[in-house]
Amino acid sequence: MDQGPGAGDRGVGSLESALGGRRGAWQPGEAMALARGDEFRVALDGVVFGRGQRRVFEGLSCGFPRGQISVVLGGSGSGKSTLLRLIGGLERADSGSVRVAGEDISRLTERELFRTRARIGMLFQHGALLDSLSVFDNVALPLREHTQLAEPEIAAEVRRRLAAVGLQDAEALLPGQLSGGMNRRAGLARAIVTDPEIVLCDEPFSGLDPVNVRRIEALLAELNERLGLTLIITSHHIPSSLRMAHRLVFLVEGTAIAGPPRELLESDDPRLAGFLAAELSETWEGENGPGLHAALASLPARPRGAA
Amino acid sequence: MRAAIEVLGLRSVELVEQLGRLATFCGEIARTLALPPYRVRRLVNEVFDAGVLSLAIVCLSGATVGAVLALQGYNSLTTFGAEGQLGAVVGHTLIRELGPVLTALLVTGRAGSAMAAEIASMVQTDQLDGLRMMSIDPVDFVVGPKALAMLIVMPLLNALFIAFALFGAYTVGVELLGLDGGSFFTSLEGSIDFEDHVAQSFTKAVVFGWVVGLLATYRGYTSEPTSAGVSRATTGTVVVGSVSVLVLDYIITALWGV
Repeated sequence: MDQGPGAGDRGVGSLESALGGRRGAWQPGEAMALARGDEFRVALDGVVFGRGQRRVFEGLSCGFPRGQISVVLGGSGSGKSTLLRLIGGLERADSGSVRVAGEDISRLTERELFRTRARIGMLFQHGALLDSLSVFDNVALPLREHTQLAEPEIAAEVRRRLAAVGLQDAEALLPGQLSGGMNRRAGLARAIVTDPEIVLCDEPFSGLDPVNVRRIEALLAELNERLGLTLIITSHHIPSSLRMAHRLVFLVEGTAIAGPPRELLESDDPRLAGFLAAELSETWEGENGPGLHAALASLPARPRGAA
Repeated sequence: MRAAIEVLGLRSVELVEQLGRLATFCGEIARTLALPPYRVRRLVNEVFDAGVLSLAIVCLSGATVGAVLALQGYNSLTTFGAEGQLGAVVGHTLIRELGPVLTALLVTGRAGSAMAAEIASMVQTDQLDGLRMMSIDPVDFVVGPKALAMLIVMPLLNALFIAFALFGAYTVGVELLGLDGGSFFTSLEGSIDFEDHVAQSFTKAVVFGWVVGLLATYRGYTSEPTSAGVSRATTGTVVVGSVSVLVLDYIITALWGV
């Protein structure tokens, strides 16, 4: 387990070696050093962010390794969505740096950000589809705006993506005619249609039935394996998180505790204990036995894509 | 006393800041409209929403206002035996003042408020952020076509309002009150000058169109992402838009030289 842009899939050992054997909180600059070495596709270092009088992050440092699935967990109001918005450049940190694909986006102008965002796809919590466009046109929009593809090629690509999220029959519908879950699936199709390097997903499983949870889970895992996408997912859905994640990031009291799932589940960190006890017992009670043991048993023997 | 001065100073600074932001936003819209891509299809859709969907209310209001003007004017003019000048009186009032002002107020209430509400609800539901994340500038994609559409439809709706108002005045004056149709049109034609009346009317409509479009899109774009934010954007557009139209009407009239 690490605090901040830590070990990624390499665990505590690599963190300690990267820091010359030191443990504990990361110092400013260390995340930058690792990010420059391309260890992390996304790295936040000493980020302070507040809304009004409320501080959401107090020196948040964490990293998201290239080509891996990182799942961000935390209680309501812990700043999960805000973290994604900071990474996407939709919010500016009060201080600290947010490096995405090697660039400190907190220093970029809005127009410069457009260049960086071309490498990012984002699924918003409620889909964020344009009301006035059909599902088809929503998914086709980034292709029409940023590629020279002919309309038949765009149509084929859009239909392929819609089929992947199970919405092949909904292309003519307007977002207002879709359920919440369908909206999110269409939003996911739009987020991945340009094959971005980094995909940010804000609660992709929220409100989905189990069949669609599995479908989206499989789609994201496939994208990660096939294209090597860096996926950063916020979720309350513990079973999916444990099945998919190479790395978990817990947001606690304005800071991050990150590491491989097994390590975090076995951690005796008091800041995690309360959250894990409540979430795990609620999820697994009566299924495979209570709490932690069932959660550990559910972990894949070897995370997808792990070396 | 000191507290009151401090509040006054604070409000003044806020006002100047708001005006600065509005000017920057205006410049941003102008930039996106001047540079490609030119979003003709979206512009046509917006012209339909702001213009075609406002036709009924503008035409009906125009005819009613014209009819009332004719009725009131006839009563007053009869006192002086000058009822033959009804066409001139109605034409003067409608073309220079009531046409552009009432059209702008009607369009602010119908299309301006709808524009602000639509953009504000896009803010609330992350649609504008969704565009930003696709590297699409929301000012270019959403705001520009709406603001330009308002600029285009306002003079056209103004012309329609005036045409229907003259029709209403003619119907009441000639068909109901028995004035001579020839006198009505002769006095109208003789008193209307292109430079003084039509050009002023057109200028006012263009200025009002730009201001209403700017305020509606700005209010929506800068709204809080909440239901109350949508409500405030809509109300603010109608209130600030209407007052701005009336103040600008005075300024343009004064500068034109009555």
